[in-house]
Amino acid sequence: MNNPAIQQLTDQELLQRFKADHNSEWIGVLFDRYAVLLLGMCMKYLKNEEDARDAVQQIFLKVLSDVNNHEIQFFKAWIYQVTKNYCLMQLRSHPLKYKEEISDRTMGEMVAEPLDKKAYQEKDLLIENMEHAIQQLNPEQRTCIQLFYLDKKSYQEIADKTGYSLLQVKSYIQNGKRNLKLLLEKQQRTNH
Amino acid sequence: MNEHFNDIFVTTGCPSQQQLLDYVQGKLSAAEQHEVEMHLADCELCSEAIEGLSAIKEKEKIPGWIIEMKWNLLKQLRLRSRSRRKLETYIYLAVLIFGIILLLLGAFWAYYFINRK
Repeated sequence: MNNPAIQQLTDQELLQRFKADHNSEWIGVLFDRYAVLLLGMCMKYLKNEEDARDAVQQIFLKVLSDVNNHEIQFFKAWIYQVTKNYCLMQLRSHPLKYKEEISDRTMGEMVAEPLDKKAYQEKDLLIENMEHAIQQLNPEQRTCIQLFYLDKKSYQEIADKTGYSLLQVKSYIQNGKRNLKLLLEKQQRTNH
Repeated sequence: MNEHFNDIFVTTGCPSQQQLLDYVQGKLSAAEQHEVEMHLADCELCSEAIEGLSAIKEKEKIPGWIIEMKWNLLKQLRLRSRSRRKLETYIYLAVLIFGIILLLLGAFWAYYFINRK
């Protein structure tokens, strides 16, 4: 199944073919595309390498059982939700085993929000408002955004320079970017 | 306005599985690393995956795990497929036997009533 033509097939086409002939090799191709991502996600939630590996296989088997009952339009977004919900269910089903991982934050995400499928359309935003918007961010977000986008620093370099943890850096950049988008949209609306 | 901010809202595609592995193992160049991190700011799935992959102690073992997991998955799928085919064969045989019994009963019934007349 290393045939380049098969590698060109979309996720949906692979699923359609699997539904039609139940040939497991189609799933092998899908697995190659997503296994590392799912392993990482499961590891993030379960914090146990063996459990994460088992979870990836269970999630794929679940996906294949569900595939006949669902019309899947965006496989990536769908498998993300399935994985997240599976891991959170595992955390809830084995509270003693995963007691350190269960927090109000993770349980609050039980009904996971859908992935933001709408691609950012920020090309339309007015770039000249950017500097003004950046000044309105809180100091942590502003520093991280400037170091990341302006100075092209890596997460690690920003963490070393600022003393924030890697997770904090990532979070400041993600939230800063989201806030920037909101500020620019607000400015755009005001201008019109 | 610094031109570097122009790419702040550029949406990038997900890195390949190999790029993700190279990223967590620190094998990417500074530019490649920055490109992956630009994507992480937009993609929850990749961002969470990188967080989890970074927590794996022996990262060089990941490719081997993936091969093993795939092999196990495909084995299970083949077993499922075999048992489904078996079930289909049994159903087919049952229908065939039932049909033959019906035919025999019909023939017997016809023979019995013709002889009675």
